[in-house]
Amino acid sequence: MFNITLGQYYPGRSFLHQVDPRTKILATLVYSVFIFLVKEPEGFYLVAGFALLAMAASRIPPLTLIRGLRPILIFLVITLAFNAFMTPGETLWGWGPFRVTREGLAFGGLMALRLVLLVLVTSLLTLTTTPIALTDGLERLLRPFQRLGLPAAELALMMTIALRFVPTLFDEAQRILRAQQARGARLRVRGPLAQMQALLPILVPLFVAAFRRADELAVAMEARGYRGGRGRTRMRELRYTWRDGVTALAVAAFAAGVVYLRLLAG
Amino acid sequence: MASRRGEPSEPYILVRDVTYRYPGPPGGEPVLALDRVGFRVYRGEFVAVLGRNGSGKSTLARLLNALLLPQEGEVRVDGLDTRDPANLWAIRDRVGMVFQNPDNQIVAAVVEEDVAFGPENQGLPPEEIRRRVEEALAAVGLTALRDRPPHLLSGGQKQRLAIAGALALRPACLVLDEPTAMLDPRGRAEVMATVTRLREEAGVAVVLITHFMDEAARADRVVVMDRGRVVLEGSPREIFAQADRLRALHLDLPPVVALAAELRAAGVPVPPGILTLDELVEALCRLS
Amino acid sequence: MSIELEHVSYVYNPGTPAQWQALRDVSLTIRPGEFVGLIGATGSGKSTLVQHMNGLLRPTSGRVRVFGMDTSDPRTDLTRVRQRVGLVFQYPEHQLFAATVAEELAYGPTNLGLAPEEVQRRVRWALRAVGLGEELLTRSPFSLSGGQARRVALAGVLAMRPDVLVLDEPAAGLDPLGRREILDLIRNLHREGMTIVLVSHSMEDVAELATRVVVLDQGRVVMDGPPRELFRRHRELAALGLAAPVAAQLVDALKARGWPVPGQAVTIREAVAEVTAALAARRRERRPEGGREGGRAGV
Ligand SMILES: Nc1ncnc2c1ncn2[C@@H]1O[C@H](COP(=O)(O)OP(=O)(O)OP(=O)(O)O)[C@@H](O)[C@H]1O
Ligand SMILES: Nc1ncnc2c1ncn2[C@@H]1O[C@H](COP(=O)(O)OP(=O)(O)OP(=O)(O)O)[C@@H](O)[C@H]1O
Ligand SMILES: [Mg+2]
Ligand SMILES: [Mg+2]
Repeated sequence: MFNITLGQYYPGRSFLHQVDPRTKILATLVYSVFIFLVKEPEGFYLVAGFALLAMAASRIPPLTLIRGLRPILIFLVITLAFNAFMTPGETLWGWGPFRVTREGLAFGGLMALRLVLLVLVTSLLTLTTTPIALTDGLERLLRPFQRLGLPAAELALMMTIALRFVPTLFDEAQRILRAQQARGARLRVRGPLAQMQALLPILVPLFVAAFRRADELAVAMEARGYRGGRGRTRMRELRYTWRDGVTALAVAAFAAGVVYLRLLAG
Repeated sequence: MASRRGEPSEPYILVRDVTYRYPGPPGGEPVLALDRVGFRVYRGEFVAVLGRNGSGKSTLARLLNALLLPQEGEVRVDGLDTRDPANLWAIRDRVGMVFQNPDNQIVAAVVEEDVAFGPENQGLPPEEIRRRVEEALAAVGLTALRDRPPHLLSGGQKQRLAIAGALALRPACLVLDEPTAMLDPRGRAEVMATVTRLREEAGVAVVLITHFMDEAARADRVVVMDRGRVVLEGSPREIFAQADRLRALHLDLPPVVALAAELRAAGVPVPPGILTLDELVEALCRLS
Repeated sequence: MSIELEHVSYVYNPGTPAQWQALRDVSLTIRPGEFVGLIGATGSGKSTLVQHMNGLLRPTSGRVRVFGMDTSDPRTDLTRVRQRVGLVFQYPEHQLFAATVAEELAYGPTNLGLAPEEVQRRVRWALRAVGLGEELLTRSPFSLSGGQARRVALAGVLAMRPDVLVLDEPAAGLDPLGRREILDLIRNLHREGMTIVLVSHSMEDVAELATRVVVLDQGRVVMDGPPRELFRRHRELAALGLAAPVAAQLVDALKARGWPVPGQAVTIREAVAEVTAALAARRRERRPEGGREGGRAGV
């Protein structure tokens, strides 16, 4: 029922798995920004090429990655349709007041492609990085801002808990849903008020469960000496290697390419 | 309450006259969870804590490593008062804790990273953390599974992982709150074997809270709680000789003891004090 | 036939890295009036299997029929399936949601579309069946003690008046008295004619209650038979992560030491009977003239 490949760790020892989480986070950020700078078709070869390279470096079966896109399918369709109908231009196909234009189709297609690539690359980050490494990386990146009053360690803890518990809560939701179905629950009913009421038997126990789990985890962490990240060391120290150099170079080349194309067009 | 094992010097953990109340529902009375409880754990000792649902066992457990602080009375661990904030981390290093639901106490996505969580919090250097992780994994027999994601482990393995996570802090005492409630017979046997071995080989004191009477039968000492008080205390033999008293406290006899008692009731002269199946078989064979 | 599973296989998350085959070619028939104990190591597929019994899960391949209704057939009214087969999940008190116990118990029957008077009748019947008093009806289910909450959750399923009641570890986490009370209650429901499927990690409980035991291992049914036959296979059970009840272990050990016991006992009462009979037989052997009395003498 729920597809939770998005955001799950895919165990492995590929090049991308071994890149430092800080590098991966920054690279993902750069990519997400630059993908919106691209307007011309050549640029799309560049962003798509970079994404393919990253996919290859992760050694994750492409089918798995593509399946991870399923949850955003509906957004893709909406993006494509919205642009196809709403952009003025040469009419390809018309029906009453609705017209699909060539420009609209092209623009919608590019928007959808952008979305696909964005999701692919961010899911590569979470697929090749354990949640703990991800939070460590984030914490280290945010550490300079600690002096400005940013609670980096606490934020990292919150992220750990969230990441650790998203799949568990999905399971819990599913179990509660089934338990109420066993009592004849009907989930699809008419009217917003009735709909809310029909969902209560699932939402109430889910909230209770979420609190209980969060509380138990917090107690378990405290019992193991967790003191808010201060003075904490790591078994695996984050250390940059040649892989991070290579990744940084690739990202720099990508960014330079995008800027160059922009200048060329501008 | 009789004194056993010749009263060894100082208790490692001392709970004296502790009272604890939870805030009740809005507008209601506070809930009295512990009522002037006295409790002690000696070095290397295996204590089982029994008691009906809501009798205060989990509350007591949480007082032993300063997850909760006594509102009246005092708790001392290795001489350290738990109410003194300066002692907090020293106490948590000394008393490890394992809970009922393994899924809610595993923090990391890889077995060995989860074990490393405690020593990392202590701020140990990476080499020392590695050493601790190796040691803890070996102690619970999970070395071969170190790279697994925890959600692919069986229930018994997950619970052993939770024990390893606590052991990595090198505690002198391990408190386990119903660690076998969700396990199958093999998982339960794994956890009990791990606990007994830790005590024998590493001298770790164990406080085991359980609803399974046969697990309590393996302890050095059994403490029975009821309505926030300690009402019975003694060796398993002494405790499980009091069938009627136990039933009144919503407890029961371990299956072997119950079997021996039924035999006795049917006229078979098995001697009192039998706790294990082997003892029962021996006793029966001696009869004929 | 109440529930028939034919060659049922079930795969979780097909086509993802988390793909997992939880059931493999399970064929099983639950007959009216049976008390089936379902045992197996953690992860052997017990919970997955029982969710097939009321159409919550539908087989990836194979077929499940509940009172003749095929759960995979889109024309089947699953609410009717779930009315006839009640399923009590593990830790069912975690699914309580309503403001009062009365509302909680009315949820199931109301979903069945029953008239309010009938709903009320069933609410009171279910509450009585689990041994709770009517004064609880106005309480919040969240204010109950653990054992009470567990019973209210059980009553919530009973209020649908199922023909078959399936329980997934109903006594987990309860103290020994709470455990005994829940099991007695289930035994009574069985005596009154309800078909029971009980998932449990406690071999003692299964031996005490079940008329038939089914053992799962890695998604397959590996043993199926009366407790008396099944619990004698100690070594096989141990290999599956299970154990025989203490009573069975005792008579087995005695038999191995040369005692003239049949070695059939699985409950405490049966073990006591075997031991006393064996002792009496020995005593007769020693005193062929008959001595004083029978087995009970001389203690
Ligand atoms: N967080 C809390 N808030 C309010 N009351 C609580 C809380 N935790 C426990 N209690 C109450 O305190 C009493 C003792 O609870 P505790 O959990 O220590 O019992 P227990 O012996 O561990 O029971 P069980 O065998 O069910 O685990 C109970 O009456 C319980 O309802
Ligand atoms: N929602 C799910 N997604 C993926 N795999 C699952 C899911 N639920 C169960 N499984 C897997 O299917 C297998 C069977 O699980 P199931 O819960 O049926 O076992 P069980 O016999 O009930 O175990 P336990 O005694 O621990 O309750 C397990 O390996 C489990 O990890
Ligand atoms: Mg408790
Ligand atoms: Mg289960």
